[in-house]
Formats: sequence, C-alpha cells, structure tokens
Amino acid sequence: MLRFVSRWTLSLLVGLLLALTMLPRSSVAQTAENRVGLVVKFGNGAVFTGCYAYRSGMTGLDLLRAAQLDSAIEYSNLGAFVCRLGAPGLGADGCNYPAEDCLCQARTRPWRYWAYWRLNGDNWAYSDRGAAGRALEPGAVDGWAWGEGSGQTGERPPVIAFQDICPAPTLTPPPTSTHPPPPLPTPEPATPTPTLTLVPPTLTLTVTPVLTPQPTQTFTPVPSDAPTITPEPSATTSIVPVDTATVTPELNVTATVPAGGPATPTPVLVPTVGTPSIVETPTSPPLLPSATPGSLRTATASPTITGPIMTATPIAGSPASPTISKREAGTLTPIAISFAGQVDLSRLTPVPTTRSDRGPSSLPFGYAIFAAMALGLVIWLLARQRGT
Amino acid sequence: MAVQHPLAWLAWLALAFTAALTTRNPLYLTLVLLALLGVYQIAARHSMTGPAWGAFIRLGLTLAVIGVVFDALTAHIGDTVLFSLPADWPIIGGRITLEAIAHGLLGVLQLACLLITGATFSLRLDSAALLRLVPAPFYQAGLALTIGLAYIPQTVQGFQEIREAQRIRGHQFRGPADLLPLAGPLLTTGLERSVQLAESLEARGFGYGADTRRAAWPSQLGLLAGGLLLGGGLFSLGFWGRQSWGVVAVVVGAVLLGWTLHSLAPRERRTRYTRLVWSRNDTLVTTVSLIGLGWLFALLLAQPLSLFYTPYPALSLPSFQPLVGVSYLLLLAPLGRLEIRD
Repeated sequence: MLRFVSRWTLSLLVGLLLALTMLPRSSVAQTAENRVGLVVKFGNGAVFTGCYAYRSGMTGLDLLRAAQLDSAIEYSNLGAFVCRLGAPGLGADGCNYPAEDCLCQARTRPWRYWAYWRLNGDNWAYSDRGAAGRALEPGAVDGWAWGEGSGQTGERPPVIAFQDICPAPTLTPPPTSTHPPPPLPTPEPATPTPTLTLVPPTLTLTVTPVLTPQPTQTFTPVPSDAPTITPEPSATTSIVPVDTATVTPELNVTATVPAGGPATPTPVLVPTVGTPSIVETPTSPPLLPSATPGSLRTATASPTITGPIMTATPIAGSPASPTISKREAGTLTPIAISFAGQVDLSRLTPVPTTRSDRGPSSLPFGYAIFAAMALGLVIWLLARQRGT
Repeated sequence: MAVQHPLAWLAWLALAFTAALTTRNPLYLTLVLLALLGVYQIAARHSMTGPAWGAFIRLGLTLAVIGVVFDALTAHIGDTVLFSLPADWPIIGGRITLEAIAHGLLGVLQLACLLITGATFSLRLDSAALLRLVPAPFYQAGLALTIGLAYIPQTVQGFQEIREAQRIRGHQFRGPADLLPLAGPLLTTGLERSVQLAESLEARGFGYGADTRRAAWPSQLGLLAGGLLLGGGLFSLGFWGRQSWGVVAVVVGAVLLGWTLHSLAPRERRTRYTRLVWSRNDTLVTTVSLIGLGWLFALLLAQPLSLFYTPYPALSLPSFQPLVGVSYLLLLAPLGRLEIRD
C-alpha cells in the first residue's frame, strides 16, 4: 500500500513540474532595444559607463565581465562576489583576490565593498540578489559603486539614464581627411642625406601598483597576476621626406609607490622598448599630375611588456609619493635609474622575469610528473590490496 | 615497532587536514587522497572496526555526490553552459554549468580526504592514550568526545548486523520504505548501548572530583563570565573593528577563563598504570609531519597563489609544481619502515 501511494505521489509531483513548465510566463514587453548599460563609480569619484549588447539569459555578472574591467571576483556556489574593479585612468578599488581576502576592507567597520544596484526609473535600487543571480532585460542598467555600506545599502553610483549610456545609433558620414596635401618635393642637390635622430615624445605613465606581498612569483596560468602599466605606451611621429632615419625612442616610466605603507616589495612590471619599426604609407594623390608622388614615412615605437620586474620598497616616513623612474633608450636593458623621493636604492633589486615559466610551456613537464606520481601510488595501492 | 604515541598521530592528522583544506587544486588533492588511502588501507587491515569505517566513508561520499547535484542546480555561474532551466523557477532556475559540477566534485574530493583522514586517525589511535594527553580540566569533555567518536563505527557496525539479521528473516530491501525495519532496532540498540555505558561510567565514579567540599559555583561563574567576556569581545572586534573595550573584554575574559581552569586542575587526580612510550618511529613521523606543515604554511605565506585553483568562471588546466606535489607524499610517513603492525 505504501509503495502504491509513493508511486502516485511521485507521479503527481512529476505532473506538477511539467505543468509548471507550461504555465504562461509573464512576458517582458518586447522592444527594439537589445542593449544594456553599466555604470561603475570608483572611490575617487570617477565614473565608468558602458553600453553592451544584450543576449538572452544575460546576468549582471555577464554584463560586468563584458566591460572587461580589471576585476577580481570570488566565485563560489553562493554566487560571485566582486572583490575589485579597476579601469585605466579611472582608478581601482577593492581587494586583490585571491592574493588577499576578498573582503579585506569589509571585515570590520566601516565596511567597504562594491555595492550592486539596478536602475529603477530615476532611482537606484539596492539589488537584493547577487550579480550572478540577477537576470537582465534589454534596456536594463546596472550600477556598481565602491564605498561604505551596511549590507542593506551602500555607496550609490550617479543616476545616468539608459539613453545617455546607450544613445540611439545614428548614421555618420565617413570622416573626411583633414590632412593637407604634402608639399611638392623639391629637387635636392646630390649630397648625402643626413641621418636624423628622432626622439619621440616622452611618455610619462603614472601607475599605482597594488601592494601585494609578491616579491617573487611562480606564474601559474592566472591572468593579471602582476600589475602592468596600462595603457601600453606608444609614440608615433612622421619623418618627411627622408630616405633613412634612425629612430631612438626614449621612454620614461614613473611608478608611484604610496609612502608609509607596508614595507613590502612592490612589483612593477616595467615595459621595455622594442625595436622601432618604420612603416611606409603612401600619401594622398598629388595635386599636380606631373608631380612625383611623395611618401610619408612613419616611425612607430611600441614598447612591449617584456622587461624585468623591478621592485621598490618605500621607506617609512618618505614623502607622500616617492617615485621610481626608469629611463631606457632603445635597448632592452635599463641603462639608468633615477629616483625622486626617498627610496632605498639598495633594496631595489631587479627580479628576472619569470614569464617564461608561465603558460603552457611548463604544464607538460608538471603533468608528466603528476602522472608518474599518481600512477605509482595507484599501482602501489593495488599491489598492497592484492597482497592482503 | 609501530607508530603508537598519540602526539605523533596528532601531528600527522594536522598535516593531513592542512593538506586537504588549503587547496582545491584537483591534482594536489588527488595525490593527497592516494597517499591517505595508502595509510588507511594498512590501518584498516588490522582493525576490527575497519569495515565499519569503510561503510561510513562510503556513506559520506554518497551524500557528497548528492551535494554535487545540489551545487549544479543552485550555482548558476560558469561559462560552459550544459543546459538551462527556466529562469523563473525558484532556486534552480538558470544555467547549469560544467564549472558548477566541477566545483562540486572538488568538494567531494576534499571531503573524501577529510573522511579518510578521520577514519585512519580513529582506527590507529588509542583513545585511552589520547585521553591521557588532555589537560585535567578538559578530561571529562575529552572523554565525552571520545565516546561520541567511538559511536560512529559502532552504529555503522550495528546497522550492518541488523541488516544481515533482517535478510536472514526474509526481509528484502527494495527501496527507502524498506529501511523502517532497520531504523527501529538500530535506535533501540543505540539507546541500550548508551544506557550500559552510562551505568559503567557511574560505577567508576565518572564526574566526581576528589575534593567535593569546595563549592562549584565560583568556578562555574568564572567559566561563564570568562566565556561571555571572551566571546563578546571577539564578536565586537569582528563586527565593530578594533575598539579598546573589545580588546579589554577579550583580555579579561581570557585571563578569567585561564585562572578558573587552572584552579580546577588539581581536582582531577588521574592515575596512570602504564607509561606512554615514545619511540624513534614516533619521532620520525612527528618530524616529517611538522616539516610538511611548515612547508605548507611557508608556501601559503610566500606564494599564496601556488595552491589556489578555481573552476570559475571557465574551466582551466590546473597548475602543478613537482616540488609541491612531492611534499604531499610526506603523508606516507607512517608507512614503510614504520609500517603499522599490531
């Protein structure tokens, strides 16, 4: 009897579940809008906005990831907790998970964390769900703000309407060239062309590295585990009109290390300047058919981030913003290091880059070792099992 | 000569728990599991309660696998979507991802390591020897804990015996409803065993101190006040940050608790019939375990990311450092020349 009842109960439950799937769902008014907006307010007041394409089933977490901000997110089966968000030129706030506790600034009062909001008309509504559990609709706007909160409310981002974040697309005419036609080449006497030494503009980059105790690193396939200087600097200039030119790029990099902070080495990934390339691009047609068309030569120096990792340790009591700067002139090794402020030179030690240790090149060897160890243990276990 | 001293096993236990709880890298956890299985295999071989602990481990893993299903249905995170349930379904509505399943399986792997560690420790450790190490004021609490731990394999063993007896009587187990004839006798035998144990403890004067003329209320008040101050101070430090009154409460509570426990200590007079022997094997196991512990903590401090792994947001190949992997083989310390023999 009990078995009969249980079968009927099971059938009833299955039927109810099936009926639930057939219930008409509340349909969202279909609009032509297939975009969603994002507003991120940093602790320094800077605001980031972005408009992204909507796709079915998109969540708040998907939207945040679509923005491709410098983020650290702690995932668990309870959801995703945003530990840190950063944007070039705007700032970065939060904790550098997993090197730090995700709630490193929210364990004691006052709690500082990234508050999650959803735009409801003209106001922000504190989201009662995490970003991973919030399903977006077309035209939705999500907001994130760093600041003090209480769990029921927190720092609010500025109210920005969806139309301001995602303006209606308009047709724009193709841009017209504003470059004046090049001057007609004048005949030159037969003399050797002088070699020009070109110095691109000095690029000054201000970086606020994240203070994490990572004096040495064994890189694992985890992206963004060392602060890098962004945006990647580049310099472009024109050499008109010469046949040969020697380009000597000079790059100044300044890293700002907060003073009085923990005396931990602060790794800063400093770019080195690669070999500049000279690209020849044709100019617009000459004004006079009889003139010889000239050419515009463009020298581009684009540093690649392959340099040694420098570490600097601030001295307690040093000025508000001691800096280290590195000047490099066309070579891959630093030739001069100058400092502004009180930074202990003796503690500045170049750490050879271990980028070659990361990535797939070291995985096969490690996996081979693991396979050997695991296989050995399994064989040993089976042998002992048979021996009993 | 076998590894006998409880301190040696405690050191090994600490290493095993630390190894299992400080990483979710499946490669490292696999090595930990295999090493623990090796020690458990030998420990269970020579023990009468070995099969019972094996059944307990299997039960725990079965429940953990159910947890994997729960994880997959409730954690809607991950880039590899297997299928999606309607979003308006409560709790389980949303995407079902491979990453959530992987996360759940990593939890099963961790739980397996912990269960096998606990089973091995319980199989090889002499409860009486462990009790002798418990400080005098905590002796009764330690005894209660030991009795509770001993009941786990006894309950599992009782379950197996009752199941066999029911089968002999022609009872067939075809579904959950057929477990009712098992639950009744199991509960009854458990209660009978508890009553017998209570009577034997009473006969041995359990719970009576040598000096009963002193009133108990000062020590009880001291424990209560010290516990409240310590707990309240810690809570306030965690909730309101570092406040001076929170620090004072923690310090005062700790001092009060310590003084009360110290005053209770002379009451418990325990006699020893045999002396615990510390052998060279115990020294070797303890040393190896402490080295392993130190290495893991140094690794966590110097390279916190080296043991870190998460399948979210997208499944990726875990890293493996041979030196770290080899260090987990230190869990095999109780074996080899130190092979456990009864």
